[in-house]
Amino acid sequence: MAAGPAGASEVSELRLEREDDGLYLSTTLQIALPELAEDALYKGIPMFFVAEAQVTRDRWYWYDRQVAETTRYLRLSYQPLTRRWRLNMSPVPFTNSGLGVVLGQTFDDYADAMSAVQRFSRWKIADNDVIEPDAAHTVHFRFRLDMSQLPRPFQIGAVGRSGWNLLVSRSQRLGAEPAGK
Amino acid sequence: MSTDPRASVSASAHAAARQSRAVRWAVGVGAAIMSAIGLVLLFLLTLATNNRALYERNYAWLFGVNVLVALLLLAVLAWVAVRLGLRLRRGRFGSRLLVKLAAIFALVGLLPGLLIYVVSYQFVTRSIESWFDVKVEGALSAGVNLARVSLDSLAGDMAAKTRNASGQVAQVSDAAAGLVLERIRDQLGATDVVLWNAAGQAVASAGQSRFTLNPERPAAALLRTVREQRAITQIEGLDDISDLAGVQAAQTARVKVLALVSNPSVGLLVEPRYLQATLPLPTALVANAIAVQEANREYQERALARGGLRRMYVGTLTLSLFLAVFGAVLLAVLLGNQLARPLLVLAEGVREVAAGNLSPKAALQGKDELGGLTRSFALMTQQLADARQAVEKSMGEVDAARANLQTILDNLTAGVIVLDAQGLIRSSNPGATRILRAPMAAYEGRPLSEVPGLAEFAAAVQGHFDAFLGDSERHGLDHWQQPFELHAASAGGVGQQHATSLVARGAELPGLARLLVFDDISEIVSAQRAQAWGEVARRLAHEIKNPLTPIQLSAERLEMKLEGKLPGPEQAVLAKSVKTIVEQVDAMKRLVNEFRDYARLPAAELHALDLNALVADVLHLYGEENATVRVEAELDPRCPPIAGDAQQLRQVVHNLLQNAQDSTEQARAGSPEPLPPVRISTRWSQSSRRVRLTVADSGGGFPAHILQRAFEPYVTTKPRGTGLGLAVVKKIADEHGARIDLSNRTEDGVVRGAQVSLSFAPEPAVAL
Repeated sequence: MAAGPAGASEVSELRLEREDDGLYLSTTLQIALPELAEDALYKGIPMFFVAEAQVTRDRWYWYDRQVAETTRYLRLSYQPLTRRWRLNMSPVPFTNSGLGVVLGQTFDDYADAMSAVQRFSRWKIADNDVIEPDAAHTVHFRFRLDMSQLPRPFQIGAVGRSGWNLLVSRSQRLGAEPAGK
Repeated sequence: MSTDPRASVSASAHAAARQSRAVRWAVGVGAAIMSAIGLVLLFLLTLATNNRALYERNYAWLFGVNVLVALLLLAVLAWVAVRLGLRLRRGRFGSRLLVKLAAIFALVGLLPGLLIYVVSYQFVTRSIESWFDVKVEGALSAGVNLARVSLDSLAGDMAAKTRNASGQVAQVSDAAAGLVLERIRDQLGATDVVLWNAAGQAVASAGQSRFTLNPERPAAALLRTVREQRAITQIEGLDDISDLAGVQAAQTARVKVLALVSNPSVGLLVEPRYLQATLPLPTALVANAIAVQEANREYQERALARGGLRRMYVGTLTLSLFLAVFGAVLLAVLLGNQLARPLLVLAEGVREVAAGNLSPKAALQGKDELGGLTRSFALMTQQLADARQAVEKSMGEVDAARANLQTILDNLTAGVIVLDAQGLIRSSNPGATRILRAPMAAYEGRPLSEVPGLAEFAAAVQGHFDAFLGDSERHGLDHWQQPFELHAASAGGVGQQHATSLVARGAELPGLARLLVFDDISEIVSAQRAQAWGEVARRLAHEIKNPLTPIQLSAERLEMKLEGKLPGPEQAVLAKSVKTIVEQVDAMKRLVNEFRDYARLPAAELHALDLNALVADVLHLYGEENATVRVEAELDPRCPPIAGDAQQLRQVVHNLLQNAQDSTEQARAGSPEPLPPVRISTRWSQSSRRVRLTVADSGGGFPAHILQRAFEPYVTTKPRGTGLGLAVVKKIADEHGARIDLSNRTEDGVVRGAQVSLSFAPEPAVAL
């Protein structure tokens, strides 16, 4: 409920920090989960999210070269038995058999869980050595609902249905500033 | 010649047929392969439906490939349809039949497919809807609620127990708490009991956590909540459950109760302490609860995905319908082609035969009846062609025979006329025209009696035919024959001389036609007459010559005996009479000799002879001094020698010149003008290879009736001629094999004189 009214999904601000060991991204998304997805969550069906961060080096003569890519997978589920929310995070995609080694958090209500989903703090998206000091770079950030992890009939049913679409993205230029702080 | 283009045409047609067959084969094979792939994919699709995971994983690309195959089939179908349409529009032969067959087969393929599709569609949608039920949903959520309530009540129960137990710790100091905790653990049946102080540090513990160095510490917010609510419960171990870990989770599920330890002493600064007990949940309950929750989740999942599921099934169904129908229609078109081909070949052949083209027809090697039909048709056409060829050949032979016959008829000297039953002229030959001296060809289709001058002849012929046909059974003859004198009565006495002698012969032709054949026998009659005259002359000469000598001798003796014995006047009478007798006897002797000469003309002895020299020799006798009529010669120096008897030819020239002079003299007697000369000429005709000797005069010419019979003895125009001159000429000419022509020279239709010409063959040695 704290996520605000539906329909106002955006990446309000994107903070990029260059530190000694790499590039860190911090942001808080303003997203409203589509209604159908929220319903499905309440019915005990887990939802998957994917956050992608791409660092590209600008090239005037060719398409930009991708120098780093980091992906974070999130899985949000509701336990009707305990009435609690569970959020799992993993750098690798979730598979059907078990969740593997993942970071799990438990929340008592939906708003807490969603705010945890929307919050990215100090997410390391690139090593320092891939970022060339004199070149201009752009960071592309995308956050979306991952339908491919859902059961297949869902996908077929969901194709082209706005009730399942969630995608926010933002690109920000990373100035050619000297490293270190 | 005529087989050549036909062969090339059939060869090109053959090549075209082969090419189109190749195209058809390519299409057929391609379609078969594609439909096979489609069917295999369909099979995989249905097989995959048994295994949900495999199905879901492969559904998308299977669907895509199937769609692709369906599109390919559709494209092929469209191509075939367009081709068919083009053929139809171009009005190509047989396309209508093909379209019809294709339509029938397509209908046969489409209708059952549609029926099955509709039924299956209904079935699928209904059955999918029937899976989802409000009652089932309600039961499932009730089950989940039940499980939750059970767990909650269990937890509440445990919380109450823990709170009660916490009273035992209240009076115990931190140091002594261990024992009490152990007792509490036993009482509660907990796996683990920990006593926390307000700072969140473990004061004492019992159970498993005693062995952990740093047990999980409750959050400060949690402790605050406990202070307010005195006790809270937390069910743990139910997170992160999946299908596989369900049983394990049931064993690890536990309730963690955190209760505030009530402090009875009223000390303000006494810190609150918290008792935490971890109690295992009953495995069966947890397992059931998890099962219910999972079932509910799956149910909800499917309920939400039901649209997609339905779409999936319907899509599969539709796709299989498309595949089946496209395959069926394509096969139908190809099979229809196969079926229609013999019919097309046959129909094409029939059309060609109807147009008169009997060239060899294509025959299919198929074993079925249609192939047999095409073979029979080809055989029939061949036979027809053979028959026609035979007919044409025989027609050609008949034509040739007819042309042959016509040539024979045209060159026949005899006249031939074909009359029909009514006596109308059906056809005639040039001989008839010549003999009858009437343009018979102009009178075709008209009765013979209408021809001028032939009315009598026609009547006589008709009479003979009537009699012949009427009596044919009786006398059994197949023809009649009768001599006729033509033009006999047309002009009285003079006409007698025009008369033509005919022998006519009539016979019946098939189809009631009548054949009239007649011959001009005038010349034969003339020849017979000449022969008869020869005989008469010989006999007369013999009979007359014998008494002539005694008569002459007697007369001379009489004169000798009586000379001087008679008086003067009588003496003169006697002398005159004797002279007359002797002269007349001499004349008679000459006459008889001429007759004898004519009759006993010696056979000509033929030698190479220069006609010009002969003529020149003879002309010496006809010099200016001893001739009343001049003779002009015009000799062709190119004349080759001819085969001739010089003696006889000399006589011929004499006779002819004499006749000419006599004729000229006779015609111009009493005319003051000088007499025109007689012309004698020789001419070599290269084209006919004959030497022609012509004598022409300016006399009165031949009267028409003489012209025909001039060569007969005793036919003459001279008042005192024996009529043997030309007869002798004719005889000598015959001996020499020369042709003799007799004609009148006419100028502007007026007779100016007569002309006799003989044409001799050159001497063989020279001619060759």
